[in-house]
Amino acid sequence: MFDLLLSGLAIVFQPTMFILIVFAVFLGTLFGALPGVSATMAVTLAIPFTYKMDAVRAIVFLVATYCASITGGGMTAILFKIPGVPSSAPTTYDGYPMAQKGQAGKALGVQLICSAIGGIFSALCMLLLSPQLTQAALSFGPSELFAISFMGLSILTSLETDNICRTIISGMLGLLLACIGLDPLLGVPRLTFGNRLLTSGIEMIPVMIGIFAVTEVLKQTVKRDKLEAVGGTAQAKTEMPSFKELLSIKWTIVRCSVLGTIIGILPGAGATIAAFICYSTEQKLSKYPEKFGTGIIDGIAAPETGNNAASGGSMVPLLSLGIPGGNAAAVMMSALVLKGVTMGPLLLINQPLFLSATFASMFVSNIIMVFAAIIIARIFVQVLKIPYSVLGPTIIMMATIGAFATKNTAVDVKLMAISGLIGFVVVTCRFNSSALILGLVLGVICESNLRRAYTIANGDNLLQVTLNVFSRPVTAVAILISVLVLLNPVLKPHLAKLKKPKATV
Amino acid sequence: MAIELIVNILLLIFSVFCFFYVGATMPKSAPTELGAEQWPQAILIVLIISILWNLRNYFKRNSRSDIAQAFKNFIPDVVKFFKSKLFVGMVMLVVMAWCYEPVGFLATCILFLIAYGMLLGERRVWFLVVTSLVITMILYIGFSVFLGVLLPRGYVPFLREIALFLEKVFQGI
Repeated sequence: MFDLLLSGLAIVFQPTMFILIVFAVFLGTLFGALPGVSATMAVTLAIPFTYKMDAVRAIVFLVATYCASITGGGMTAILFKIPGVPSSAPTTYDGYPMAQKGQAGKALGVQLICSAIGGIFSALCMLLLSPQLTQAALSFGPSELFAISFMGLSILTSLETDNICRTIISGMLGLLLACIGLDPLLGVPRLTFGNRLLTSGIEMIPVMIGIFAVTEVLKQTVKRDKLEAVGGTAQAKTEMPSFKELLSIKWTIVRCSVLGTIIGILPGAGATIAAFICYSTEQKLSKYPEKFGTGIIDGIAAPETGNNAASGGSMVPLLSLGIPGGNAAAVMMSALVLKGVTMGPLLLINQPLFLSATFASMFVSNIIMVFAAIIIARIFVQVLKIPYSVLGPTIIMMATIGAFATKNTAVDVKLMAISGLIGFVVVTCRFNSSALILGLVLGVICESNLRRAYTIANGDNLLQVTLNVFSRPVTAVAILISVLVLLNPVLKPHLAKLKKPKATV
Repeated sequence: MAIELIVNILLLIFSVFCFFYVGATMPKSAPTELGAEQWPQAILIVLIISILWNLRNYFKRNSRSDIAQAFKNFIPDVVKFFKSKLFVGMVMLVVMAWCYEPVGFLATCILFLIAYGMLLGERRVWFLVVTSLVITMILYIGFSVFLGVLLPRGYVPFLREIALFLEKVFQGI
């Protein structure tokens, strides 16, 4: 193992390779920070740089780009409320309020440190536990994957504890939006109302950009009568969290690193689900859950540690079994196949260098990333000094480019605009836009896994099949936890009321 | 307050309609499988119950006189909204989204930046024109030249010509 580690580090610290990693990290952070350029797109855009590299160098370069892009996405989520990548959406919940309070620098610092720790932890896990974890993940069937996705949905009732009913409505609307388009199993158009444009479904990224970024500019349009820069953030510099602050979130970092890595290993799950689950878990376990969403460092640490840990986790099935854990991993796999590499269990036996080089690349790039992101964040923070009369419309234009870049179609731009308007109505009626996005993100994954689980389960009637699906140990435990977590904020006040009279007697 | 009630009632009607619509339009599923209609219908049931609960909360929270007053103010509020900066901003956004492909990125971006900037209170037209040109150039170079993201050139012949000309200028810079 030690030899393997040394050989990986030897590759990474070759002068040309090291320069390439630094370049990949800058490239990835920048790509990730740009709205509409997802981590998958960042990796895709980095592929042309690998054409003249050998397979090991190529994966080192692509892994560095991938890890950095996940981190870069959090920067715009904090500064502009535009999640650069979907997995940064939960970062906006606390990151943007912190930026509004004039703590953008600290928010960025926490984001960078936590991302780096999450990434390094998952890289270590990948090296040490790769074969074992892959076997465990492979034993997960659709019912377990549904249970894991459902755990992500269990955050719904805790997103706004004093507004549970409207939050549930928002979440359900998100889940309903995810049902629009071709049915995932039968392939028939569903809820399209005969409209051809709806057949391909509601694209997640334009909706997310519209609801988060465009709605925010519309809100500011009402507020701002005179010219001014965004409050307080103009003087912000990336400010590393103090040792005391890091200690206060140590368990958040530990838990989210573990959780993110495990979720990353599961095929089809990935960084976005990891970020949402980590956020919800930490909110549940927190001593001050009501402060989540108001701008606290715990709310940034959880999703950022989780999504970076998931990026490492997704490499485990890719390298061990040739199964991509997510879209970006699939792109990396295709880049390696182009180079004549046969992915599969024999890869690590015949060429163990792949595992060690990938680990070393993740380890080194997660460290370099902190410095690269500080430089890039400095440029982005300067942007906040621009008057809002220039910055506001620029944000909308960036969002427009991001929406258009998803599929190069104007339909997504229109969808973004409509989502922005709907987002404004949602905010006006005190519904919860984060819950809507959560439903939209997890809807398809939940449904397709649940229906697959029903299709392969035995039973003479629906009740028997249901029992067979939910009696699998992992599924049962995960669903039970999710239901308890879902009901906790609803039942808690009632239980407290019941306890109160007894206490006064 | 009135808008909240209206939105909730509209959502309720839409949800009930969708419940029956999805049931009627999806193929019949096998007795041991979850069909294409059952998952959305399950969501819609929870949604309908939640909306009804929300309406109950609404009537519990607000007195009759408050609701009556809100509806009395509703029409003047709507008129006020149509005259507001917010409505103009929304119209600009929709127009921009619909013009993005036919007019092309460059012209749409420059015009939108100037128009929205004026809406946000900037009165120095020269400043808006200069910043709009600079930002459009930065966005174009950043996304199109460096990242290879396709940006529409527009269908309108003379605007397309202008876009091609500006692209040449930007690429030259």
